[in-house]
Amino acid sequence: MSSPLTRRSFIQTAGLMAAAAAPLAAVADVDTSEGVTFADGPRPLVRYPGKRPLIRVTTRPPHLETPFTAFNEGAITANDAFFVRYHLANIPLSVDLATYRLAVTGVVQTPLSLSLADLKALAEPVEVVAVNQCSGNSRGFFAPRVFGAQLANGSMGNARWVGVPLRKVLEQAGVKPGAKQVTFDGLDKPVLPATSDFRKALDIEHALSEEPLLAWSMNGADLPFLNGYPVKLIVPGYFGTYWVKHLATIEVIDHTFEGHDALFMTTAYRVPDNECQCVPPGTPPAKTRPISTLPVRSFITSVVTGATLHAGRTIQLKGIAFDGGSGIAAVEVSIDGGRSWRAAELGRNLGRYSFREWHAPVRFANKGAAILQVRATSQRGEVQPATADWNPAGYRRHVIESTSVSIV
Amino acid sequence: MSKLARFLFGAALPILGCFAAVGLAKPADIQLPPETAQLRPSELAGFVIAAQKCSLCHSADYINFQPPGMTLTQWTAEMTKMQHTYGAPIDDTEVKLLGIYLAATYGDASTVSAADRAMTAPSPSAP
Repeated sequence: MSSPLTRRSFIQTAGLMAAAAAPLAAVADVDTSEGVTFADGPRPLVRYPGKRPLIRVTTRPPHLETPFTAFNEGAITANDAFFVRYHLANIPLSVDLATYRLAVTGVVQTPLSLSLADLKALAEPVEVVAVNQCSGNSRGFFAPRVFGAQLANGSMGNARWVGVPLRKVLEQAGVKPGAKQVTFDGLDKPVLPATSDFRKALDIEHALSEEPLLAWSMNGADLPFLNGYPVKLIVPGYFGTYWVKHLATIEVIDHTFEGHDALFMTTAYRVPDNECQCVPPGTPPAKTRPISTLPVRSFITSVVTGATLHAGRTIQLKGIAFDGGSGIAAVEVSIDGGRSWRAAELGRNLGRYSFREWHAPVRFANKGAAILQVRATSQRGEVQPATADWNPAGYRRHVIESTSVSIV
Repeated sequence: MSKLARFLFGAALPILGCFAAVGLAKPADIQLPPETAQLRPSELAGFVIAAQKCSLCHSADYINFQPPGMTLTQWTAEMTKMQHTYGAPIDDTEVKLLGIYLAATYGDASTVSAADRAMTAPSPSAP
């Protein structure tokens, strides 16, 4: 693999080329594997509306991954770098705010039909900086390998979301006694009637808590179309599967969500129902439950695998850490493959759901191969494990990441 | 009340500016890049089935970008999942033929026997 500098300049060049050329053209050859192997790769770097060149995971439905270098730009992931993930190929290609309505139905006193303007006026807007991470982020590193989108580490992003609390909308509609869950459906639909729609459910207590947000703004701009314009459900601390895009219908139900269109709750996006949410590699779980919150994770962003660094010079290692909402308590780095650890300094705190930047000066005494590692501890005491656990769907990877470099 | 009247006199007068912007705004729309990913061609019966049926709901890169080296058992189980979980319009024979094509072409070809490779569709099946 090429050095980080080379790769970065490749990507910048690619970006300039794409900007100069036709807006939807595929971008020239760049190493987009990021350490993952494929049956028939490589994955192309492609340009989509409102996006810089991103790594194509799939074309139809669109699934795009953020090149990892973007995470070294700061704690906030730019809108044009943010990953894109659809499940169903029948996606909206046009949204007219004159006709767009968000329906609130089910066991409520007063069903609502809200325009975007109605939604914006319904309550005082609030903002949260929160990480949206795919359940399958880093699936390509599972061993043994599992089917599914073979993601590297770029199916995550951190943004400042502005919207109204879901709770305010539900209060406006008046949740009736007996409500058990709230379901969320976007404008994307399956191609065939036999395929389940993509709908998600939150327990009523969670839906009525402070956290979930109906957001129209991302990093100070309208939501990018491919990230769910005009309204997206934000569920801070929870995996991206719950962050329903192009939100169109909110239904309060008096039972646990089930049936033909509940597949993405009842069959997919489930983890082993035990404490580690894991099973011995290659074995099926006895029982599963819906995936929920983000485990603590951290990454080095300033150096990528294959980089060449100089002995005898101090360099600043830089990166990010995050968890499911308790906040980051500590980040430590190791430059000897995990034998010794030293504390990193934490950057500005943008909130407990946000990426937390960190940096640490390191100096290599000897030449040769070295393994850099980073591990984070959350405010609630969760620490990243040294060895990866496993589950059949390849969800919630959170092992301590290793970056192999050459010291010259 | 007409749409215009709702824009002008709706309950959300404090953000009239937003309403005006909404009233004037054109629909937001996007155009997606063309689909270029292609399946690996094969003489095996599953190739034609994949081209006809898998492509109803997803592009070929869903297959191309799976992990290398998956076995016949694994690919066949994946086709069963497509059939039963995701509503793919494929019958049990097609599940087998697809598994053979995918394992032989994209996976661990050593797990596909000569007898597997000789398997053909009983009759042309309608999509």
